[in-house]
Amino acid sequence: MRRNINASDEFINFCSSFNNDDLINGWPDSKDEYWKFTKLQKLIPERRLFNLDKKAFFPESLSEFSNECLDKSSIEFFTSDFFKKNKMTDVVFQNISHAYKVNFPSNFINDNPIVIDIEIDESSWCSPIFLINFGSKSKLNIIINVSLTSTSLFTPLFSLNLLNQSAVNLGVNILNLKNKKLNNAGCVNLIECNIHEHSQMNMVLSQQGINAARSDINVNLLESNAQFYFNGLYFGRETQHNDITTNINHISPDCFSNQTVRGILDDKSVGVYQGGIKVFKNAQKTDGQQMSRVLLLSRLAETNTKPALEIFADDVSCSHGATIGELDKNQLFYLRSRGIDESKAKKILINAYLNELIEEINNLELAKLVEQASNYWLKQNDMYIES
Amino acid sequence: MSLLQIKNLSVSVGDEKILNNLSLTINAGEVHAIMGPNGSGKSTLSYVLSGREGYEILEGEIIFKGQSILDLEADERSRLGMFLAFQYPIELPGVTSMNFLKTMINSIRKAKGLKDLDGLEIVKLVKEKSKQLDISSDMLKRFVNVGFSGGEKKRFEILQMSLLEPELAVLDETDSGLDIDALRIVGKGVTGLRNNERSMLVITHYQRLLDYIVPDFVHILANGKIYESGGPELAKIVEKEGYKRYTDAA
Repeated sequence: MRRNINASDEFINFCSSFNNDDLINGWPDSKDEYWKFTKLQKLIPERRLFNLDKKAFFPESLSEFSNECLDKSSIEFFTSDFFKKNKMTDVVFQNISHAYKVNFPSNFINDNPIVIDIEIDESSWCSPIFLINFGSKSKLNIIINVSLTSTSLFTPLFSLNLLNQSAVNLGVNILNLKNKKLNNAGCVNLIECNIHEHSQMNMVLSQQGINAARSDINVNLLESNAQFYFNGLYFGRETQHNDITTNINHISPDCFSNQTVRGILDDKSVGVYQGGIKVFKNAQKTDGQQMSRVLLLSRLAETNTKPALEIFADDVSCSHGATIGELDKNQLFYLRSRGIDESKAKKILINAYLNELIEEINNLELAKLVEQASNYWLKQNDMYIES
Repeated sequence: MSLLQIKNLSVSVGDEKILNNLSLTINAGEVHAIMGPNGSGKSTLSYVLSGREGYEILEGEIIFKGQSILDLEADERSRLGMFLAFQYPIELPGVTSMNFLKTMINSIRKAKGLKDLDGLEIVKLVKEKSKQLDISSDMLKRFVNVGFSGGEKKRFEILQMSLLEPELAVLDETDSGLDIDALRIVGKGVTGLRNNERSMLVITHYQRLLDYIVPDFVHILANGKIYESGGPELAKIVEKEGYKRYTDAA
């Protein structure tokens, strides 16, 4: 069996040097502006109630790329501004369950997706650290499936580094396999993505069934013609809380980013999207777009959308937008005027909302992931319609 | 017995009274045309008949097939045999036209106590009816009304009507946005659906649609009430003289 933690003593010592007394119940304080909309200390139980996960989940398909351990040189990836400022980093450093370094060599091309399945047991806490390097001109698809139970916790740190002319399609599908009505499951993802010249990251992230789920994504478009595409999706019901927080740093000229976050919220669930774009002074000809589209299925559901654009260059094209709505009354009437009852008409429109998203995703594997995530949610909620 | 009876119907939207003591009776197999100027209440009449929300019935009654339908929802009225061809058909992004037609057909069949048609049977039926309306199979692969031209939208409405075989079809300005060729195709399509049991209420501004769908009766609607009723010749008079004398009378 593989070791769960493949890291040098220097790396381990570095991590264990972290100790943060400011944490409330073990979590970042919601008085911190950055955590204002997501009060982790109220949403998930104290961290001491979880046992650190000891299971190995490392897939065989990755073994040949993971001979190196996380060493002294790896530390710099986890001491970037993003990780340094984020209080969750301290929490993970103190409680590492897994640590891996993965190097995909230059020119490595793989059409079949590399699948990483992470299953977390009840009362277990999985807090892995991943450093993944994509060599120049590598092209690959990676799918990460995370299955939690109603009482598990997932708090990974990912540092993803795309060298020149690489192209990565990354899908992350987070769900709760034991979708009990009341749950204490928590998930806080910290993902940093460094993209070099002429490289492209196409990321899809779906989260559902978790009492408190937050994905913090920081992207550095380091060199010209770096591109980042992001489709985020969350589903909420009961009192579930979903948060997607992004920050795209356009550091060099001629880079492109496009983020769309969609949410479906039922019952008393809450959705948060904090979408940041920062364009550095030097980053002329930046194209940075972001959009939030939330569908509210209940009058008690709540959504908070906060775009944050900081632009220091003068020749850029940036936009942000948000739509929040119920199912369209005209569309409902049109369907019902054709003899389709209200409940079925609503299901058709909810399926349609998700179909539209699937159509927009230009990578087959990622589109498949969204379809699976959508169908899982629709079936859980008795809304699935065979097409 | 008459198929549809509208008795002294008054309807308001917000504070504004749109229909004012309107009465109309349609017997099985008859085609009635309602003509009138902008804002006379034509579209309101079609929406109130089909059960759209947002209209307050101040007084009056609508009897369809011997039963009051004012308390019925839009889908219940549809299953009872009422069909509205929309003036502005609604786009349904994410809903493919073929799936929509399948769901629609089977909802109506279920109400009639018939068994569901399977995918193949639906495709066969839809293709057969589409041919007569010059609807391409490409159109059926697209999302409902998304990217359809004005003519395609209206032909798609008539296709739905031909598939549902309603007893009463309300055609709300089906001619608007149509060029001459599209008008001919739609007119021919609708006329092909006429029979002794099926009634139609054709709502239009212009006489030109009535060249293709020749009505048994023409009614002039202005300021929420019917001012004059007659045969097809009335449409020709209005075409020549305009609606001025009705709007002035109010």
